[in-house]
Amino acid sequence: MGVSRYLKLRINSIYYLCPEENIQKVVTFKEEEIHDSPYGPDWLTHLVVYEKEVIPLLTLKDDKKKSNSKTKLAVIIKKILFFVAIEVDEVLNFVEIKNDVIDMSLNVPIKFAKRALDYNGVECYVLDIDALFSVKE
Amino acid sequence: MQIIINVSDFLFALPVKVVEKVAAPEIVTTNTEGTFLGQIRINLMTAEEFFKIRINKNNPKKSLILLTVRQELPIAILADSVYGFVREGDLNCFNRGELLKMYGFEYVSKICLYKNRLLFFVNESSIEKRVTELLWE
Repeated sequence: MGVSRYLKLRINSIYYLCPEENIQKVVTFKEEEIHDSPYGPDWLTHLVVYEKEVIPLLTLKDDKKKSNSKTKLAVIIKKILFFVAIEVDEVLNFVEIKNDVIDMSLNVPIKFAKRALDYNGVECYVLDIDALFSVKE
Repeated sequence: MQIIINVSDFLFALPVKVVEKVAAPEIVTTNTEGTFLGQIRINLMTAEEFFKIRINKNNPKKSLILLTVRQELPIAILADSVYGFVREGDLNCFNRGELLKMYGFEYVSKICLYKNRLLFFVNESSIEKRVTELLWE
């Protein structure tokens, strides 16, 4: 069985794992670079310009826990030619996880995550990349 | 040439040629038969309704400018203000084509950055499509 690399991210107090192959860049956006979105599902409230394209900025952060910071840390996630930015609190490190561990992990009803697993005693959720690029939750 | 209107703090650009006139809303009269602009019966609605946009903020001042779409499109939309005019060729466009359609930007044909704000372009065919929709509702 092979091994895949994931970038470990923290959003609020939840740890997410994002497949390395879908990571484009880690960036920061200034407050003035973040625009409200007039359209989209409820969770798509903001848009940003990245590489001369307007892309959705997704935030999974709780309203109560939103920071007052003037800049926001985000990870640009790509799928084929499309990009989505996701606001994060912290970017940790790359981790290697055996594919069969992922395959055997539990499906979870967590927004934008499809599987949950225990990594070194920490509960982590694997980001559902397809969900990020669609209107399903 | 495009006219830029401000709608709930979103900027929309629409072709000048679809606009018959810009006027204060006081010139609209209503009677038991409906809403009239002079002798012409019109459909009057807010720009938020017309473009089906999400309203993020409470916007009590509704609106000061009446934009009437041309005679063959018997509709007038209330925007907050006219922001200005722009030539489409003077802007760099940031298209998200398929992705933005997927996220529900059905009337927006392209998006530009204009004076550090996003400018949502609505082309003539989208306006005609929307008016047809409204007339059949």
